[in-house]
Amino acid sequence: MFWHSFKYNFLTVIRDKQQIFWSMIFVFILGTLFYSTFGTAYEKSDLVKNIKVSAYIEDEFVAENFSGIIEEISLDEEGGEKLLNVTHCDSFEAAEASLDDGDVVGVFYSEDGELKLLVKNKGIAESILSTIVSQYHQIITVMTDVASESKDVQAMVMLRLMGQADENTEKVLSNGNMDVFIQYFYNLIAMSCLFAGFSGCSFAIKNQANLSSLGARKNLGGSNSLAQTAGGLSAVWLVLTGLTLISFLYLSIIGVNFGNRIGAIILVIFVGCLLGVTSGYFIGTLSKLSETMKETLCVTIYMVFCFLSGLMIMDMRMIVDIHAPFINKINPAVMISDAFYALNVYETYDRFFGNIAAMLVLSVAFMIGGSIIGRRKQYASL
Amino acid sequence: MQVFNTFFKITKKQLPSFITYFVIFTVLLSIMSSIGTGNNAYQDTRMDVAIFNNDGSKKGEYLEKYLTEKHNIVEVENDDEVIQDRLYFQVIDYVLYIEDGFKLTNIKRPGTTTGAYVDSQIDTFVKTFDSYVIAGYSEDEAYEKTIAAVDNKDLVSMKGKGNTKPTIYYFFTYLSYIFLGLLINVLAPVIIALNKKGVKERTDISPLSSKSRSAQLIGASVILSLVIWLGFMLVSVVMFKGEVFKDINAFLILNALCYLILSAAIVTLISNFQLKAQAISMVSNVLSLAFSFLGGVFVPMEIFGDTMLKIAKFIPTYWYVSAADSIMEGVMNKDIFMCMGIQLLYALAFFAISLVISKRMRVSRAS
Repeated sequence: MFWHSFKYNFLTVIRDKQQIFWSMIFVFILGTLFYSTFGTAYEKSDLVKNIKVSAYIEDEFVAENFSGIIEEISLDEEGGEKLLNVTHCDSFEAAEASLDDGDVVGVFYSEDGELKLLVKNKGIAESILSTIVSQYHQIITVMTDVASESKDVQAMVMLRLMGQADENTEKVLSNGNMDVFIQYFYNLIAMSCLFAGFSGCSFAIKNQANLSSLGARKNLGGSNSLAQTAGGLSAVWLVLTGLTLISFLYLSIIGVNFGNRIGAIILVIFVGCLLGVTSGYFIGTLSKLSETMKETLCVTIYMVFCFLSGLMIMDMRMIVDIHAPFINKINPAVMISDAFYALNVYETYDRFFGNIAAMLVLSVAFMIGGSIIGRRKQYASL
Repeated sequence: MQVFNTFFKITKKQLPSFITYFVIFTVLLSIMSSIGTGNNAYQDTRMDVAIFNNDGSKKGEYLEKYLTEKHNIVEVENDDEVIQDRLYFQVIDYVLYIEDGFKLTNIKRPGTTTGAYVDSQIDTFVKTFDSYVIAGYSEDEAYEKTIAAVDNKDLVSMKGKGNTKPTIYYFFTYLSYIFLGLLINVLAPVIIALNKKGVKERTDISPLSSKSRSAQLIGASVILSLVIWLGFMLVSVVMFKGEVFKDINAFLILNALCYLILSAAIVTLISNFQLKAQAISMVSNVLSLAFSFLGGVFVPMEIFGDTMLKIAKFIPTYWYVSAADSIMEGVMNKDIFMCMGIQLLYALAFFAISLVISKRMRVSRAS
């Protein structure tokens, strides 16, 4: 009976266009959108380099000092790319025009013997430019303030100002990919796994005599319902895992960096889909709600889980973590995406297996719950 | 008026699901718009910094004070795993430990500019403070002097209003996602039901002219769409009170109306195809998400690559968001009307295509 049920459910699911759409095509579409819109966002927001800036410095004193400082600051970074890309303009108007056109982030100019900065927006690039202005201002101010001191003191101050930076040791917690935008893709895979629940739900409905004629037929037969359920759900699980794996493959091909622990990633997808299928099965057996209602319930619940996990808005996950950490502990979408995150960020497998264990426990709970509700049902009248 | 009445009879049947959508979307909208301003990296110079000061020295105390003025100080548990999570998710940008003897240790996202930015501020502060101490000032004086020396308030000026957007902006831009999603989910099923082969043919053989049928259908659709628009405008007035009518913000309402018309046009186009309920939800999800992502609703256009920006211009939502951007500048400019106009042109194009398709279908059915 197991194999009979397995075979026919296998065929049913691979012919279910809806399921294929939600688990695979939808992921393709969203993944492509995500990748094309913020595939390079992290570099743009957190790894700012080569800031374009115009300069028109009339004041000779400022010009002289500034060029020295600018060289000090816009030195090559380790990678070779410069932090600043300065264009010297012939007039203030020309410099201002380049700012208006959006060609540069800011304009350095001189006024009343001071170095000044004109910007259009407030952002990290602008902030870095403003730090440069304040560094210039700081050196000039300090040197003016100590001008009355002895030559020795002045030399010591100069040495301190221009000398080596203080020891401010960086402690590195992880060598993983710190690109937070990759979370969107983790959540996308989590969504694909959870959507396996649609088939789980529809399988449960096809077992219920009061909801489908197929269910009525099945209930009439004398076959072992445990074997039938096990066979059916295994088939659903297998197909859905396959679909999610294809989605994962697609995302990797278009360039999403999931890291290189492929075996562990496949394990997450297997267990994640199990969680999806069993949760769907559980919802399917629940009460006498109509098929459409149950489907709506599935979509809503899964979408809420994914929303809270940060599928639409990345910050959501941390907002929940700060205000209601308990929700993150029981949210299946978070479990799946956190397993990916743990693989990316940590060398050890502690947190990863913690997530896998939580998913397995939840799956077993759904399975037992579903079976208890679904078994030995009797229908007085249909 | 049969068609008109039937339209609302069907709508009435869908009322529970309509209200559910409306409520869910309103809640989503308020959550979305309240956190939309969150991302500090490209909007604000203030980073989120956590400081653990275990150094008793005055210098340490002053450094902490200085950073507190410059940045948002965040509380975080002193636990590597928690810090790692918060750093990764950009809840904090920088963690500074000031240990005994003014030993500094920091944790940041490795190799990032945000981290280097705070690094350089700390460096500047410490160097200046030390310089004054070397020059013989007391620590208290040195701090005062340092603050004055690194102060750049009068040195940096902004042109225009900058790009920090108020919550109302996010409310209205996210509304485009809601409008399209909601209209496809609510309006399309009703029109499709009335366009169903049997139903349509039955109406066609009745004395009701096809002109009158179309007029009633369009009228009813317009009313339903306007109700949705009015509903959300009420929500916006309740949420933002007077702000909606401040400066030229009222244009946001007009802009939303343009987008509503556009969404309705897209719905009429979709309704030509005899889609099932599930297919409608697929189309609604794909279209509304795609338009929102590519049009710059969910992610700001500033982070788009050049090619993406070119593609985005073909997405009607891009023009909706651009109009909202222009409105946020606070002064009347022709860009606002141009962007609204483009949306209406898109709407016109969708209506036209829709008419052509429905005509084709009618002809093919007749033959």
